Amino acid sequence: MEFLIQIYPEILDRTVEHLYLTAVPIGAAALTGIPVGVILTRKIFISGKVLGAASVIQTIPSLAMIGFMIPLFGIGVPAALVALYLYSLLPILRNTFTGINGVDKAVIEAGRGMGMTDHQLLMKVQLPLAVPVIMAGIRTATVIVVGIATLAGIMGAGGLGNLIFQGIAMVNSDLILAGAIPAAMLALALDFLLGKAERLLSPGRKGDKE
Amino acid sequence: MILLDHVTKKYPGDVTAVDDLSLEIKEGETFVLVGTSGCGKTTTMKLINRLVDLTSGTIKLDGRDITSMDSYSLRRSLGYVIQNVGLFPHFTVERNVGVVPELIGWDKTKIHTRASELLTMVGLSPEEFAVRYPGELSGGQQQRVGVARALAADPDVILMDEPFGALDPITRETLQSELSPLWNELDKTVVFITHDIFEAVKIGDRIGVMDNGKILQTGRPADVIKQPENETVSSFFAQHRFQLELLTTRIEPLVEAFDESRIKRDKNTPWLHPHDGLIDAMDALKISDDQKVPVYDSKKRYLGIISHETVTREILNLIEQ
Ligand SMILES: Nc1ncnc2c1ncn2[C@@H]1O[C@H](COP(=O)(O)OP(=O)(O)OP(=O)(O)O)[C@@H](O)[C@H]1O
Ligand SMILES: [Mg+2]
Repeated sequence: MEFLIQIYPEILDRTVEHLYLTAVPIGAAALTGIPVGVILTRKIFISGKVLGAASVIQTIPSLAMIGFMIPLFGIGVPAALVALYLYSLLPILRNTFTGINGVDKAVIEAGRGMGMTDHQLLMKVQLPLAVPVIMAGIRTATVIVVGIATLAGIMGAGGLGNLIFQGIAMVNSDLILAGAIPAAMLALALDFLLGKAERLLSPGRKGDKE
Repeated sequence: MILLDHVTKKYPGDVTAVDDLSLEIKEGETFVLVGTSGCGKTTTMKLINRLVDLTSGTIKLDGRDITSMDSYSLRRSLGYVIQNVGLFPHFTVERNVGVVPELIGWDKTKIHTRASELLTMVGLSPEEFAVRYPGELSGGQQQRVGVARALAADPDVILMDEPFGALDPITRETLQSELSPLWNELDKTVVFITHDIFEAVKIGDRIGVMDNGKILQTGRPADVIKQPENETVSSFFAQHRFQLELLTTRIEPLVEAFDESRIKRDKNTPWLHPHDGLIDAMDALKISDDQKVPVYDSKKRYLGIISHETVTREILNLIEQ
């Protein structure tokens, strides 16, 4: 208990850093991944290649990825942000692509038949109907990034990983837990909030209303 | 008026879905395209609103070649009920009905008023249904919304692709008899697709029998059934010929003069319209306790009666043919 009171301010600081290390890459990946995903649905011939390349990035082990980033961006926050951005890109890109392609053909046809332009169809019909799938991508990316962001601790970018690595170095399991438990809680909390947001953004789904 | 002139559509892979088809659909009429699955009905309709591009031929709408129009404005000017309903699941019923008005820039209050008016017209109370989502409606209610949506911006022409296709027979009949007078009274030109010959005969001012991308015969339902021009058309009706004739033989020529004051009338007395078929006369006679049923025209003017005797004679004639 004494330990907890003593370490509490640091946990708080590290959690804020961790949130930053998660939110920035996810935000950037959403801002780029969603538009690119949309473009891919219109350019089917390159979509396979782009999604393939993104999958390859996803398979690079996270330690190796950090190893690649340090020579490029040096030690510190930027390297961590770029690495985490690359990891969050694929789930968002892929889910945008499948979400939009998965919209019921009859509904698309109705929109076109009522005289919607491609842009109106996208904004009024395809994107709103793809929201659950796109949000699922963002949630997956978020959970992955909260986890991998702990590794930012070894590249001097801060976050809850710092506590964990200190704990490992000092063979202090309390310290490890002080980093690991908040990280897990952060992942759960963000997933929960994004789930709420998803529900707000997708009205009319069967069984949503009580 | 819609004019299709030697219209052909070939899909990739050498499928000729519509084959050198010519057709004139008159202003204000309900024209029903009827034919078996895959004969090219939907393709013909999508050629009219340019969801599908012509391979050859021309289509004119009130004398204007549709390829010279902006395809988006063309579609906004035509009501469209698609096969499988296709309501937007994330829009409320009201927003669904207001899609085309929204696209052509009506203001919110006008859309709201119009949506309430239309929902009432198609038999859905706006208070109850306007804020629901399509997923919260029955199939029949969805079809009603589909029809309301097609009427929203008050188009002169409405294209309906099997609007009642996926319904049980009873709901389908209810919707036919409730909704078709609606667009008739509004003087809409309606192109209606079905593969149900009874629906075609019931709804159409004229029908066109389609097979293999071609129109085999067009005409008033009664004429097409009585005088099929070839074997294929005839075989299309063969199984149901007698029923169809009962349905399409109008009672108009069978009306007899009779002194109106001698007709017993209360609110339950059945009556007939001159355009009703023999089958309606049979139904009316069955509930009448008088062996005769009065006939009134659309303006409720008395025309005479239909007697049990005449109807029986006419049915015997049909059987003997
Ligand atoms: N996009 C398409 N590409 C290739 N072939 C098509 C396409 N759409 C329709 N066809 C073919 O064209 C023919 C006519 O199809 P269409 O949808 O017009 O028939 P339909 O009369 O409406 O049938 P149904 O009653 O089943 O709706 C069919 O053989 C169909 O397989
Ligand atoms: Mg069809």
